[in-house]
Amino acid sequence: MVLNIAPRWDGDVAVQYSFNWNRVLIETLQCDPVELLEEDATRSKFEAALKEHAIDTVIFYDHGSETGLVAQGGTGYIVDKNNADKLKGKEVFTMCCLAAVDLGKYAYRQGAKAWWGYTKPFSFIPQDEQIYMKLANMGLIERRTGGSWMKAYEKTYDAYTDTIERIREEGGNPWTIITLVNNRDCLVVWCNENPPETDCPFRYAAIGLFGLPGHKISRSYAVALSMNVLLLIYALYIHSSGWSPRGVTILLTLGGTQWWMFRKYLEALKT
Amino acid sequence: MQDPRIKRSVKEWADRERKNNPSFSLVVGDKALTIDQIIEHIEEETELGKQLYGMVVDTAVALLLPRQKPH
Repeated sequence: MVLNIAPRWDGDVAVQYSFNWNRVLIETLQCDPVELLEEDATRSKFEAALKEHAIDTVIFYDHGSETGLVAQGGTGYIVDKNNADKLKGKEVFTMCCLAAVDLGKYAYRQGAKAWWGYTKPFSFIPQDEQIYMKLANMGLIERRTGGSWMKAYEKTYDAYTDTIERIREEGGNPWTIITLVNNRDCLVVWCNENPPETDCPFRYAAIGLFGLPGHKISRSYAVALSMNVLLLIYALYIHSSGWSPRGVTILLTLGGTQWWMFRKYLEALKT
Repeated sequence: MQDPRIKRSVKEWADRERKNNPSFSLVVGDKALTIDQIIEHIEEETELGKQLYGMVVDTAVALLLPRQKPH
């Protein structure tokens, strides 16, 4: 089931357009989504909807920042790092500025199956609205008609390029070309076929050790891994100096930690 | 530091656009800009102006030196 979120409020030009594009997308998809529109587009209603319904896809249209999806009225976030874990196992399609930079990566690492979005501000020329709407909606339409996220991305990227070339040949407005190039080049999809790169040396090591699940290892898991290594060294020390109740306790703790880590690893593999 | 040739080209575009399409506007993020506001931001090198200037340069690079489709 799809959860569709689209805030809209007076005094903001961009949301009037993106809200309409979102309505067209829902009509095109011909699905029957759970909807949080305008006043209903709040954090509490988002979290309640995820509890009440078996949501597999989340759509969000409107404003975003590197760290959050902006709620109705432009104040606060519907999704940020504090509740991104609720997107675990879900596919997320956003049409908003910047959120793919940080929040999208974080949500993917927390277990979201995919995050479609933009790493820079989304820009458009209202006079050419139809062009932008078609390209903004295209990814999810392609995905829902049977393609993988990467296929959807490639088709959308190619459609952007073809449109840019056509407008250039027709001598169209340079700002239409500039904004289309900008939107095309900051469009990303984080998914298992295209996980986000990392600049964290510890995550880099985890990816080297575990492969794809290394992208999804949480910070607490990494800390537990380090603790476990320390415990192992300590246990070896206890073992070499003879068995004692204290040494056995430490070994049991070590075993419990390892069991917990193994379960986390299996969970990461599933997503 | 902004290249004066790019600034001049943007100004020339603005002059043409004022005559041919005065109702032109550009939406970047949550801001809707008129022709004059675009020029003003670029001239004054505000944060938004730098962003707009960067978009022009990025487009020039992307069109002249197209990269392979990213994955």
